[in-house]
Amino acid sequence: MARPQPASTESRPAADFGIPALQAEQWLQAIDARHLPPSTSARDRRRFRSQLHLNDLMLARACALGRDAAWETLWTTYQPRLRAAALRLTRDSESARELADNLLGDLFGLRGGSAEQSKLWSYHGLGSLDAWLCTLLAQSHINQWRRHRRQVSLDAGLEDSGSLCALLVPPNQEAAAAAAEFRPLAAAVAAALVALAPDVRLLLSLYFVDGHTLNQIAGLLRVHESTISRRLTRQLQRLRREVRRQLEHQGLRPAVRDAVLRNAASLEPGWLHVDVSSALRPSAAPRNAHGA
Amino acid sequence: MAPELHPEANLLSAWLEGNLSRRSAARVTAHLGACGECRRLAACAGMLVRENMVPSRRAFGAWRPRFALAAATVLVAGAAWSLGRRPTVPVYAPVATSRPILTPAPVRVATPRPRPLVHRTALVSRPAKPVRVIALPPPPDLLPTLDAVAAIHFTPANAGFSDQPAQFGAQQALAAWGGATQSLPVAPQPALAARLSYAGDEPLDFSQATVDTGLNPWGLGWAGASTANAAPLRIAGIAMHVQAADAGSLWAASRTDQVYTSNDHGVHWRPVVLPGASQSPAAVASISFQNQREGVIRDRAGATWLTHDAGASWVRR
Repeated sequence: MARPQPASTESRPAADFGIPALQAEQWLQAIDARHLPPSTSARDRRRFRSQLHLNDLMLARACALGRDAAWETLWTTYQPRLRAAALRLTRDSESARELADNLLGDLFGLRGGSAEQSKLWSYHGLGSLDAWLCTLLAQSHINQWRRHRRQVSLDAGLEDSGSLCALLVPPNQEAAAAAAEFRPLAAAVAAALVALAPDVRLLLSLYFVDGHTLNQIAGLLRVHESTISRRLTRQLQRLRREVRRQLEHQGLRPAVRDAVLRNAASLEPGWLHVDVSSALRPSAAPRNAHGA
Repeated sequence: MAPELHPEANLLSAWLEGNLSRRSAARVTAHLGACGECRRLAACAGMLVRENMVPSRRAFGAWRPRFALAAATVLVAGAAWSLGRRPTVPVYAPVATSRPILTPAPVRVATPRPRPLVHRTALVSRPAKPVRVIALPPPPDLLPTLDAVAAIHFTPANAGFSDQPAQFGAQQALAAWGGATQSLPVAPQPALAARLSYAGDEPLDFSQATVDTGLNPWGLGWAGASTANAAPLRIAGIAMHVQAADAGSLWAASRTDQVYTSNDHGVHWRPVVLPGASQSPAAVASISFQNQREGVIRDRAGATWLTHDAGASWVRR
């Protein structure tokens, strides 16, 4: 492995926090190795370096090293912001304070027992420190909410055994017959959804599965609301055309195919009534914990 | 990063700010399209990033040179146009005239006609929500001897994310492969694939694919690889390494049934007779082919069958 050489432009933020340039260069090389494949060209590496938030990165690393001045900067800059963000999530000042303070404790390394366990070591400067802290805060909030929901649902299940019994009841014949009737149609929709581009799939999932509003989706994807509306309309039209094409290529007998198309189209002209959300929702599978 | 991992906070926060490279952003987008948990996290964190935090310094920074270039182009073009344009200011010269100077007629100013108010309909229209819930059909009837492939995981060297395994019927499998990549040398038999998972948005090498089959009523699975690299194949309870010398050659094994092979992408299958075995290996541990002719099958009992002629004859060791 080549000996790291300090970079002149990248060592400036490190010097502000009293970090040796050689140390900073080693960190940057570790981040390069983490996020860039080995075959990355020197030009791409330079571009990647230029896009890092070096000031934030060095601030975080200086805090993780226990530099008092860095901690003071971090505390005065981000502690009020984190509390405000936590309040936005919890809508309860006490819970918000607890949520923000827990995250700050993680940053201090209080839970691990030493500063070496500080979460700040895992910040790589790809995004701003602001956004990274917000993501951690949101993750903590979701985890908290999930734990709380699990406790509530368990209690509710003990009190109301009828709901558990309802899960054991086999599906009724009518629903099964309806599903069988639309099986080719649902299969065509599933095939059409497979061919979706990733960004289109995300857009449809945000709208149909998660139920976000156009405004929320626009904010998340950093585009205007009307753009989201146009994209949705256009993609649904494409999806509809693809479903028709899939139905025609399914090898069904012409009579069956026509019946499916007729039934689907007769519900509402111009749109095949298939629950896109159920088709977009992935099947349940064990997942690893979030890497945050 | 293992394909099943979610994007970490570094990647997600950078994606929220638009700071990722196009390739990395596409991977995160693909993952978010399939992972509801990460979408929830992204929506929650995105709300905070938008409302609470300062905008990213590179949200504009990346476009700054282009804006500067565009502005400079506009300025230069405007200057050139204005310099090259003929002067439109009239040149006044005294003209001798004998006509008396008349007082000008009053100028009639046309008042604009009031336009009727038109209520424009909102351009933002919310598409109608679907009203009928239809469950995806169960996998259709499968071949009598070979059952469905449970999942196909592609793990290219730089893939860091995975899609959720999606449920596909037999008729959708081929379309699913076509949608996943255009460079697959193997066209799988559609009637065999039931679930497929794609880990990236780039053209894939089939040699880097792991075909994961699920346990089925006959305990069968199949896999193929286009190069000499082993593609580990896992059937529930049985780990298999199947190699094929060419793209169309596939080998399949069963927990309780025979070994099968196909030379046409799995369209037709024939049973493989292993000499010295009253029946086919009860538990095949692995199938491995170095090339089209030379291969080895090992069972759980430790027996090994070798072939040097593409399975026409076998030697037990």
